[in-house]
Amino acid sequence: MLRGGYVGKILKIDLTNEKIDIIRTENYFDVNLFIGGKGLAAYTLWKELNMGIDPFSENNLLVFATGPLTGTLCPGTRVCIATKSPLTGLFCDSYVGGHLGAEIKMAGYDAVIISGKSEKPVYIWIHDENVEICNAENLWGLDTFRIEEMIRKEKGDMTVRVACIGPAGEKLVRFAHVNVDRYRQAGRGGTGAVMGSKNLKALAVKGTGAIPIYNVEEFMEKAKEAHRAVLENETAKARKRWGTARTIIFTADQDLLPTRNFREATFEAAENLSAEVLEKRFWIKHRACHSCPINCGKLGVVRSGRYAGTVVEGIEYETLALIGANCGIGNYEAVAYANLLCDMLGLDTISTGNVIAFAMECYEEGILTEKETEGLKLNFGNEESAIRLIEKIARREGLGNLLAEGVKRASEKLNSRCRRFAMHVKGLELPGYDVRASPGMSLAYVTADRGGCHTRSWPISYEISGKAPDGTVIDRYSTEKRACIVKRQQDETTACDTLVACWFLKTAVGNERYVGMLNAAAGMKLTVEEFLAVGERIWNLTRLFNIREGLRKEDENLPDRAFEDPIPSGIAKGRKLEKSQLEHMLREYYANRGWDENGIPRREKIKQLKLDSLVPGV
Amino acid sequence: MAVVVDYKLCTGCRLCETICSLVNEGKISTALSRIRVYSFSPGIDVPIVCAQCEKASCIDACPQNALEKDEKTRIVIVNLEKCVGCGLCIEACPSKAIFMHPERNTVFKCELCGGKPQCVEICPVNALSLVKVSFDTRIFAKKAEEIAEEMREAFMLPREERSHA
Repeated sequence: MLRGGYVGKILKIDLTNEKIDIIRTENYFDVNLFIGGKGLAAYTLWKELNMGIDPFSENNLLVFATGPLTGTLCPGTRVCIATKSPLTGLFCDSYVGGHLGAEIKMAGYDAVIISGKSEKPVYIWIHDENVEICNAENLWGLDTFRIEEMIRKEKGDMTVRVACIGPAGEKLVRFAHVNVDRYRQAGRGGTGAVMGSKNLKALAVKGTGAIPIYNVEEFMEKAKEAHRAVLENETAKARKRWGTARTIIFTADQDLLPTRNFREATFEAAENLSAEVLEKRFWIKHRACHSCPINCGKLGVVRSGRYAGTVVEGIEYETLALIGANCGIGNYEAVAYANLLCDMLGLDTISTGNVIAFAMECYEEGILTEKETEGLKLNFGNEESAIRLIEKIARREGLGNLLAEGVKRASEKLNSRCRRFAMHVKGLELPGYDVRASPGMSLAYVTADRGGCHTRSWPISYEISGKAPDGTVIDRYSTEKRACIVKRQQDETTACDTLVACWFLKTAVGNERYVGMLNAAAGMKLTVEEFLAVGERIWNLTRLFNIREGLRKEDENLPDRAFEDPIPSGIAKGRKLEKSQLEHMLREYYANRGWDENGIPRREKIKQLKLDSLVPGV
Repeated sequence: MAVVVDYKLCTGCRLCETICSLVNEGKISTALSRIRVYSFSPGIDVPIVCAQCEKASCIDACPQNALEKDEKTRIVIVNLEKCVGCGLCIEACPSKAIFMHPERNTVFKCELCGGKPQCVEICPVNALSLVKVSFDTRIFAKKAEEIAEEMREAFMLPREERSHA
């Protein structure tokens, strides 16, 4: 029996047969082994997905998984959206803040698992125990902001929470996002495209129930202590004031900022995109996700000029880096408008910035001509063309149709010359950190379960400070300790993702406080070691999932640019990554993880992690 | 005494809502909270909580005399023994800061947690404060929509927002 934190039910919706099922959470999965969130999602996809299915077929699943601390007083909690990614063909978990997770719990569900495919456009309406599949033909084609407004209006309740897709999701753009609370997105990996493939325009939720807490007094005390710790933490304080935007000056200084399709690693116009500029000219107020004291969201308004009337939350670092610097655009107003377009039309800004920068390089190299671009002059820095291209990608028009496939597929269709600068790992476009001046980040990218991703491990802070977590001195450009750091961070992040607590509070809150809150809320008796073991268990399970889907050691690699083109300017001028460095780190990493030389978890590891009952033949 | 709001500072995190229901009801639920945060496009957050009006229309509207002003603190208190759950006070409240309890047939409202409002304590941006003023706090009692409109003007938000082609 679950005693608190959890609300006790899992909702399963089969869109093909319009069938709705409810399962008791404790009968569905072992909370002590997987906790919730990413754990629940990984368990579901491992158990219920057949190997090798087409991500766009009705066989794919879309999981909205909360954690036992989602919607509680725990600082900053979110919801995990998981599926088999149409970009990578691998396990994909994308997270979104706002208030959707809390609402799903108050409606009485720990998770919503959607299967099948509807014949016609529909949306799902969850109002406590009432679950309906509603006609959405009148909503098809509309942007995410309109959808949210229309559904709230129709229900006569502005507190209804809506997760929806824009035109990009409908058109199966492989990096389409799911939009929540107007300005929050589950951005990466194409969860929105999977929603589109199911003809599912939106998931609308209203909950009037309650989340029980096992030991209220103890939980309050632990949660308040966590809030105090966050408000006193220096990194959290900076994030509270400047959001993620403050990162751009750091990466520009350190030769880590992707610039002009990762050719350069610092951008001459970075200051125009900095938090200092945004704070003075653009931001009007702070915004936060559920129960978050950090409020890293910033609402901004462009008052005058060509982009006047742009109102958007952001601009987040990743958007500044990939749509700004990486496309050579140094005008924050243009980036803000591009950001707004991506939010409304349903595109991940990281992947979008990547495919546009890729097209720009192809254009400058003569691989794409004005015939293919339909007259668009796609030289770096051309903000008007970039903005036009965003609309074309979202609607799969002209060149947009090719780029909507993601940079890996687009480069394979185009010309063998451009593969070396198609910046992805396993099909997922790279985020805002160049690897040539950060060996640790290269290991983090190639081993991340969802492909080129910065959120599972971010060893950069250790490399820059020159100190490993155990205090030993490390050289920034060496490979020392990286395998160890990356493993530890991945396990910690994954443990955190079972709760589903936001990454930005992770360090300030710390594992002990998380475990304290979990135990008090749910009446569990987990130790910190067990909590981290849950993280490791799930990391191995997503690994096994990916291997089942055909992941091979050769895929754990980077585009040739990382090894062949030295950084042309800045603090790390002349640096590039050596193949031998990556190979060395990978060997060490596999060994640390208890995986064989091909990166496959060994039998003993699977047994030790209590995964043997899930893996036939062990 | 009343909890008053600086709407410019509110981030919409709803920690006030969350702690309110936990402290007063032992579980977490918006429907059990005495303070509610409403968000309006494009990103305006409006917490609604009882203003503890001196000339309180809820007290006037109650046919059971179940609402009364506490002599000392001047807080509007619900007498649960008298309340029959008719909801006339909710209709009369200008800011809709009284709510029907989903589990009992009585209304409930902010009674300042016995003098130490937990929402004020936890608010991470100091958007909420407990104040004692010499004027009638009923000037704070407004509908969320009305406040949102005022905030759109205060933030000088454009009438016409930019969109896609």
